[in-house]
Amino acid sequence: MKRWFDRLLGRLPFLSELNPDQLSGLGLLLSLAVYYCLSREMIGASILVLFAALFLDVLDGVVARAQGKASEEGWVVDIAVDRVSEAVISLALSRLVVLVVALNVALSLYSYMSKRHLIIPIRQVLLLLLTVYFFVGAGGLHLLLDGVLFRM
Amino acid sequence: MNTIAHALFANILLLLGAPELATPTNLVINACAGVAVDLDHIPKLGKAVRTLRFGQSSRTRWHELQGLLASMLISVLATLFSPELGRVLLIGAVSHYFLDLATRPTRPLYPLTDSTVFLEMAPMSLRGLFAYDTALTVTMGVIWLWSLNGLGLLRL
Repeated sequence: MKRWFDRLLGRLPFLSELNPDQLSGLGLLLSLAVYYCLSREMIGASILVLFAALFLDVLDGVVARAQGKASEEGWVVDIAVDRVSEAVISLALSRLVVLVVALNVALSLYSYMSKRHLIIPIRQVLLLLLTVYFFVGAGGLHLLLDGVLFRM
Repeated sequence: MNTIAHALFANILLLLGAPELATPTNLVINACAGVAVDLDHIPKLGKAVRTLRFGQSSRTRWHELQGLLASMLISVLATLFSPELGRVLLIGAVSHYFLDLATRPTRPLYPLTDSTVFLEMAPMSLRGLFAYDTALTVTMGVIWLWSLNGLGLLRL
């Protein structure tokens, strides 16, 4: 899947012009917009912006690989941007989400020490939960997600 | 980033994301949480005066991901005593790590590795950085005043 995606995007001519670190930075800035939308209960908008942030997160890896810049330093950039981005988004969410983000920071440090990739894809899971929350409407599942995401 | 910018940015995140918590006391606590991380620069103050900048080497582990982890845990613990205080502290602390990562070279996994991350969203030269910091701080000051005015906390 990853190779297929790399091949597909790798054919785009403008990829060589892009800077992967700046793409990561742009994704980081978008997390501010996700925080704002979530805190104003603009769930639809937050889903769209979070999707854009995640797309940039994928794109920076594709660009780095297409330019032959993929390295351990790139991995560190990814880890740093992802964890801080999750932390910013969690500012609008429940204590439970904040604790999961903190656990993910700890896992990132452990991943580096143990050379094993142990990360929770928090933003991807959040995107899924927010989409369900948005479309389900009133009901038990909506209440459950409301509790997990915003109240606990 | 400079201390004023950190304090303003922490307050802006509070004002935009949690305006219901924006009391004068909370704004001060939030600003303090936003600049507290910089206390680890103090031992390197002499060098910074000579070179006119704090480099990434002046930051301890508390300025990187380990510090973010500690700040988040402390803030969640604080919510057990006062949910409002915990959230105000959390917003302040996280804002610091965000601004540093976005505008400065950092070493996120320090002391495990010295690998430096710079997102190239700010200039590297001293003169360029001074202009960039000034423009960003003034912009944040305007947003801060505008937000306070909008919430009726300040009359302009």
